[in-house]
Amino acid sequence: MESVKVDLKLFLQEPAEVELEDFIPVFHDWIQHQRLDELLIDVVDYRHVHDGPGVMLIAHDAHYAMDMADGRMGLLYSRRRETHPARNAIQSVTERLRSVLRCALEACRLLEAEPSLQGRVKFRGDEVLLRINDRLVSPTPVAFDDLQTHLRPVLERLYPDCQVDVQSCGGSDSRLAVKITASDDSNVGTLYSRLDGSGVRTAAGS
Amino acid sequence: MSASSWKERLKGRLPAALEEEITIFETQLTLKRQDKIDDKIFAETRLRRGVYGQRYDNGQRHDGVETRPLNYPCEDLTKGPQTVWDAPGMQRIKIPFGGLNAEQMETLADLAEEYSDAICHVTTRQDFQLHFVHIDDTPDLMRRLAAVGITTQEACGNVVRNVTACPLAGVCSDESFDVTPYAHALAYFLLNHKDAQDFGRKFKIAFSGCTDHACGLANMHDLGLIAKTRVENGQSQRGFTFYVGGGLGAVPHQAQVLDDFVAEEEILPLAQAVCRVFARLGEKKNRARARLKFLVAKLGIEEFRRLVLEERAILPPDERWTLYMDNLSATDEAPTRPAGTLPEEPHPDGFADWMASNVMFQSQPGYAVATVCLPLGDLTSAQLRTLAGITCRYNGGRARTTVEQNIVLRWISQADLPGLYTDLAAVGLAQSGASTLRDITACPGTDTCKLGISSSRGLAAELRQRVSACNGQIDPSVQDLKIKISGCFNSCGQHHVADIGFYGVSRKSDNHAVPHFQVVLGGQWTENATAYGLAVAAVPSKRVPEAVERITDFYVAEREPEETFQAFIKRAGKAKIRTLLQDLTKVPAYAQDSSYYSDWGDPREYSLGDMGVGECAGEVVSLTEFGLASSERQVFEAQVDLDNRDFDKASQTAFQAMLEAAKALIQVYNIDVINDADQIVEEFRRRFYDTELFHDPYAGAKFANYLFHAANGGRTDTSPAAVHRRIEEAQLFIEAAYSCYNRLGQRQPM
Ligand code: HEM
Ligand code: SF4
Repeated sequence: MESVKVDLKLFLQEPAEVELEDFIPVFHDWIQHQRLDELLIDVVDYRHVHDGPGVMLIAHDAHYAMDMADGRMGLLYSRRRETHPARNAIQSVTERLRSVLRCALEACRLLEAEPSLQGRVKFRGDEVLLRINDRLVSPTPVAFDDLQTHLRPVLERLYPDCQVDVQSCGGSDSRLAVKITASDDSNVGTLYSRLDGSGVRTAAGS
Repeated sequence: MSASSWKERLKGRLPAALEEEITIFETQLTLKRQDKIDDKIFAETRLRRGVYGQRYDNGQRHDGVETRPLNYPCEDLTKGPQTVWDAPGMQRIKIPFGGLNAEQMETLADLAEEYSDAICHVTTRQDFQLHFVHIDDTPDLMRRLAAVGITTQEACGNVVRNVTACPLAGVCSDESFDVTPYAHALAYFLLNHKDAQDFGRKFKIAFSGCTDHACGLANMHDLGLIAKTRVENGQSQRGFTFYVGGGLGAVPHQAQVLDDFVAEEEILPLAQAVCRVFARLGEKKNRARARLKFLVAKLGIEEFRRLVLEERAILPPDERWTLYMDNLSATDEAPTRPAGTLPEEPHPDGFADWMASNVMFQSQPGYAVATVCLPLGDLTSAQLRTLAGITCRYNGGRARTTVEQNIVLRWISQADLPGLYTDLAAVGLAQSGASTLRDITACPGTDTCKLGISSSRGLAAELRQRVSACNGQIDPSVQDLKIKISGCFNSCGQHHVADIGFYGVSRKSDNHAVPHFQVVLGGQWTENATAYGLAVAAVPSKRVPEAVERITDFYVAEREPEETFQAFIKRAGKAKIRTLLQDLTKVPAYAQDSSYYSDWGDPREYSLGDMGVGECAGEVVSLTEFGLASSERQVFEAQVDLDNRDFDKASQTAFQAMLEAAKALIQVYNIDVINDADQIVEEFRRRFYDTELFHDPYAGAKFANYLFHAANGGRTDTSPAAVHRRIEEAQLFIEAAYSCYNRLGQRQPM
């Protein structure tokens, strides 16, 4: 669980409203205008592969993809390393999970507000896929419990006063993964502000 | 739940030699981070392990408006000349003859997810490539590959690259015999072979099972071997026609016959002799003329042959030359399902098309080979993992990659074909059209290649989509034409051997750069790529799809019955085709249509500003330079031993470091130096001490005496102070060896 390699995916409400191609100029624009607070490197087009990573924005610390895995379009944030000054002091798994969520939600918020996408992109707030992208962490029941323990404080902030369910969903590819569902379908902006309003403004920011 | 390391996790699970090799590489990374290795040597060191640079690793990128710095956190740390440490890189993974098992496929899928972008890319030489890999991750990545029997050693650099072979070897009705065990034997014989380390350029080998078909592409390789049998004294004998000096690149050459029939037991030593001649006489300084093809052309095939045979005659015998022949069946793949016949209809939707284009019956009755078409050579980790499972169900977990960037599944019972199709279709791997107009080959181009001029993958994706869209209406005469695209003239996409080839060029218009492709016609894929095409016109990238349409329509309309595309192009003449494309070559003014000024799949305004220095040629690093770098690493290890208070080991390692440096120097004169301490010291004394070549202009014999002293029992004093001193002496000895090498000049005649 010490691994920095955490994946997080948020799904689109109406994937049929938008084409993968639409994200190519958006990501290029993000690089040009430095829309995210990290070192952004390049855009990669994988539209030709079936249920693949779609269109990717490669950053130094993470990959952002409009991902099509399992046929479901969503934003996959895949952390690779923590060199950004705001991240390299991350001390705990909980802090890391919060930071990953913050980065993913930030990207989602930006996409929702992206003028060229004309409001066609809306993310679901009630479902999140979380995965430890590191096979040194075996997907055992103990690891699952451990992850849940670290996740609990984050989810309490994210979804106050509502039913949250965390289910193990990895295994077939030997990675620890959980599906988080909540009875609250708040939009990503709200979720983001709840995370930020956590009062625990640690160095784990995006 | 805390994560251990892969080194720990895989302890004892990889071959000792590979573990050691990877640990050495890890140490080199540490030394480079401390700026203790020269950039050039480090670059070649990593290239020889398949760790390649990638576009934007020089620390800048044109974002469509201007070129901006990419401020990687490593600051000044580099991993080669003008190559920033932290920048994403590419890892090439060598797959000899394209042969994979299920466990290997699963591992590749895992690695792509964890270290790359969840895409596994099959190259035009049967390798795999992962992109956006950080150099710090490469030792773990290599360990995990080694644990399933894959090495990345010599995947790049000036060495013997992946040995390719027909993907149908062993199951094809046209072949003389299965070339797999020979390709396997030669690949592992030359891997790390001392005679194949001192090349001025890369060296590519391919095996084919027959002369008539394309699969092996033997004619475009430095060394091509085509299977042949002959009858001698009533006995059928296996052998190979040896071709040498072929190659694509900016100046393509057709290979020439070195020997029409080389008996199977002779192929390893003869290949070794070719390597020795190439290492000795090949161009080292001017890399544009350093491939074997230039040496063969310069000397003429007769003289080259004479030199090779002369070299062969004096080779010290090696039992490995024929050892593998005791077990030629080691690489055989046995079917796991009974032979069968195709079930009666009904078949799944789309099955008939797939069957027609992607399935070939094997020479073994009741079995078939199915091609899994990969768009642009890509598949996702999830697909590759599923494919591994599918192979376990149908053929015992085996697959082979192809030079057309696809994967073939062999030994499929014909009775299982509909089931296989359904399983593949469930993960999007049952696309029909293998080896047809829409099965386009492309190099990485501007997506990730530092030398890319135009977007070969962007164009390939666009053409593929357009051809697929009009599937069913395509005239049968053009259905099987091949399109191959390179992002520049270096021809990694093998455009010379396509029916319709393209390579990226740029043209200026209205004061802006415009991406273009040269249209190359007249190449030939069949008969092992015996003809190369020539450029007819440069067309703006955005008009290339129309150019393809025009050319194919023209062929359909004007061809004589049975006339092949190649014959037609010859008859029609390049001038006519040029005229046909003339209007497409015009570029409108920027204000009129700016779409011409960006490339396929990339809305940025096109610029050449992102081109960097390619690493195709690797760095020319002599055996001696490598040896000296390795001796420095050993001194470092000795220091670590000393820090750990392991004095015996530290003393021994420091002595080894001196020996390594001495051996490296000896190799300037004698590449066959024996790896034995006494012999190295003796030969060093004779060649460098007695001749005073090693003498320092000021200190005289002082440094040489450090070696002699340690060799003569001096190293038995393992008190901390003595060991400390010995390490310092070793360091000084190595410095002296560097100076000596410099004094000797670039290279002495051997
Ligand atoms: C001057 C530099 C280069 C030259 C002359 C060159 C030439 C070639 C040629 C002639 C081939 C393939 C044809 C064959 O099968 O023999 C090839 C293969 C290839 N090249 Fe290059 N290349 C260069 C640089 C690069 C660079 C910078 C990249 C991008 C990373 C690249 C990527 C590839 C790939 C992916 C293949 C197929 C791969 C394989 O060996 O598995 N090449 N190259
Ligand atoms: S052909 Fe050119 S663009 Fe394509 S991979 Fe080779 S060097 Fe790069």
